[in-house]
Amino acid sequence: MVGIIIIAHGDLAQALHHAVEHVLGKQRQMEFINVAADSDPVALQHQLDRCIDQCDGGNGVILCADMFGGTPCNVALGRLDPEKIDILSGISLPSLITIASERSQIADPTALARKGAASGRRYLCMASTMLKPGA
Amino acid sequence: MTNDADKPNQHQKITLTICNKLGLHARASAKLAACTSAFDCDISLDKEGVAINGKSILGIMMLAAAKGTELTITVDGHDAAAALNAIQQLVENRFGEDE
Repeated sequence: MVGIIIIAHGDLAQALHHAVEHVLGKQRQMEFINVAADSDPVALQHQLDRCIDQCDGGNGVILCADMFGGTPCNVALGRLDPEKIDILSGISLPSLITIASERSQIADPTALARKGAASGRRYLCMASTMLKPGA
Repeated sequence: MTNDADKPNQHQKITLTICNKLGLHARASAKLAACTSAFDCDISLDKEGVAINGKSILGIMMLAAAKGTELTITVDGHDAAAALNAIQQLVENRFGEDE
């Protein structure tokens, strides 16, 4: 099973982790890293490495960052590895639910990240148009 | 011994009313998707002409089905009858919720 690490600004990573477990139940191989304004990038890299060790059960890991170009994503970018680590940025609860619920069937981090990205796009919608098909 | 996959395809349809207070919210949708995903048959949910894949949590949530919503469940496959029965029980038991 592919591991999941959420890394984001403020308390967002912890909150998203909590929200995923609220919906899907307790998750294995899933960690979070909150990035504060005064977080040290080197310390964050070490924390990320520890999380990767904990979450990688042999099928690799997806690093889920909140915003491309932000410190959480930049820290994650340093660990991009085509063989076993991919990064999905701009995450949302729908994208995380897709990744978490499909990782038992999809053993490749990149393929799984692609599904998460598609889900994030698909389920970002305006209620005013969604509730009126064809509008 | 009978191989389940050799059983003839069944096509069944039923209309159910969502009866739990919160409707098909996130956790209820997750429970429903976990239930439907355990079956081989194709399962679709239809609300007022909008049909979605009954095995997708997020698809189910897009129905925005509140308490009192009528859903038509269509099942196609060798284990359709068992799937329909499981779905009906889950809905009627309010997804395990108190109200």
